[in-house]
Amino acid sequence: MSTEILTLFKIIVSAAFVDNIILARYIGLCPYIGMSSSVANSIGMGMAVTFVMVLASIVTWVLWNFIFVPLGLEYLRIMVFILVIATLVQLVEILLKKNVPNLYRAMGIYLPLITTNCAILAVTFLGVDYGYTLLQVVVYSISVALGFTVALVLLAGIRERLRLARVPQFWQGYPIVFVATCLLAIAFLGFKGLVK
Amino acid sequence: MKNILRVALALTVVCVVAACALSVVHVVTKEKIAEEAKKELKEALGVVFPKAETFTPLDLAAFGTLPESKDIQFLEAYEAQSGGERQGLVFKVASTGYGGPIVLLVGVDTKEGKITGLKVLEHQETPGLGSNVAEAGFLSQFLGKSLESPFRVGEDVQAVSGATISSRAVARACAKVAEIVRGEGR
Amino acid sequence: MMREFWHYFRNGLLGENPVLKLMIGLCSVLAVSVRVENCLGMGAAVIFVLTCSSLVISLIRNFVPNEVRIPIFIVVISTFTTIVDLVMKAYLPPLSKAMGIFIPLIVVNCIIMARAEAFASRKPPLLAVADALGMGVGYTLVITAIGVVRELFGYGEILSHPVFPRAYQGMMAMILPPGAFLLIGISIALLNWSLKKVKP
Repeated sequence: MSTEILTLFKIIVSAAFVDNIILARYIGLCPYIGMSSSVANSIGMGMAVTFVMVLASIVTWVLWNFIFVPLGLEYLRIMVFILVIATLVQLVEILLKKNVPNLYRAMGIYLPLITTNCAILAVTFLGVDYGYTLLQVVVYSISVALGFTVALVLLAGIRERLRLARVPQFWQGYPIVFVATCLLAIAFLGFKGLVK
Repeated sequence: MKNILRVALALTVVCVVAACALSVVHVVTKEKIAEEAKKELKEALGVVFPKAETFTPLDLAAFGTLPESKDIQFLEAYEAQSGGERQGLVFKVASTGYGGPIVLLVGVDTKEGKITGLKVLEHQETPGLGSNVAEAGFLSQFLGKSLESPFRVGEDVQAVSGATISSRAVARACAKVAEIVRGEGR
Repeated sequence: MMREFWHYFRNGLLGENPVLKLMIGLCSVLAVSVRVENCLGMGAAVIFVLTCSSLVISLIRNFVPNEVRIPIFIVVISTFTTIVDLVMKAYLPPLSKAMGIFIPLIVVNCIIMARAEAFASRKPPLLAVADALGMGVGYTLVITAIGVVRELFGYGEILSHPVFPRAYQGMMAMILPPGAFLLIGISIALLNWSLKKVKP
């Protein structure tokens, strides 16, 4: 039992920090750059991503282990996983709008952007590639989403400060954002070797 | 109603065409992919045991209780044969390094009790530092080493500079393989 | 027609370069560009998927009901992505291994979806192909340029051939994530600067 908990703990630390999906694996950069202009936006995006990521990895894990592998249809994986995510996003949007209008107001506008968020597709692929159990997949996807949100909020904080800073003309806008990301990535390198 | 039918029809047609196209490509490439994987394994085995011509997979259970710890795992074993005669063994081992498991093949000449070769198959070590343990410069020092050596970094194994943990992982894999082969010989 | 073709082709190379101007398709640019060889492979894969799906989407644009156009685009794009994935696995296994998950992730490469939605679904096939080729080549140029710098300084090699003397110790920062982020920042700043110079 204790080894199982230890494995879960390892998954959490490595997925959220050591192999941070943005700063160490370069996945999910579009929303990272696009949605990090303010801290409030980035938290909304983080919530939406967490929600869809966990749902998507559960659904794809079940489909993969009970339908695709037994039938030998592994080669249809890319198409089916992305369609599952797209459908799920639509479904979540409709359900939230009807039943939880408050939550919808908080993260609704971010949902359509998520279909083409590579972080979610990557997590569903990696979840089945690593051969995790269902519980491990759930923990894994929550941790990845946590790492995603942390990186997003950190950058949003820096960008809010940058707006007041004097930046050379050609470095204004995206270039300076990438320089800030570079420094963040250096900081996250410090986590490497934490999990053995 | 008519609109729904139109939408459904369009989706169905596109999906069916896509699925058909993919099935064709899958059938065409399936054998080639399997063949490539086999070829790759054969080449890797050839590198760690150049003298042998054929390799037959062995059941790991035949070696009794293997050292199972979180640092090291035995994945596969092969018997290296030349002219129908057993020359040695090749083990596929996962040894935990700095960034994750380092999966490597270790070839052992059982007649002379020597390491015949090493090849790193997969690793997630830091590029530029730990990744150097996959290079010939580091691995060549194990060639021809007796199974009786201690395989300890700092004693008989020179670590890659800045990558002691990765180097230790490779040395540990050799030490454990040597331990098993020595145990089997008795 | 030919002039229009060139116009849209050139548009993707500089004016609307997908990576440096539109800020899309970044993930694979940063992840794959450690080696020039991987960059060329990734560029070829993206050009193939982008051109084929743009062509198909443009051809079927009049039959596709508006409500389901996005799912249909996704199916078309993922079909070509799977084809690339399988073919690379079969005929170029080392390259496919080096790029790993980033080949399947072409399907969510925003460049392709964005061009399908904004361009291919509205224009005739020839122009869609021109736009796709321009965008694809523009992407490949950027990724290869970054790859050359990273491989040269990171390993001291180009296409795995040593360029610098053996004593050269690779610059680790170039291979690791921070170097990639810094380089892309510098490239965008340079492009901004050069565009300003050309057009006063």
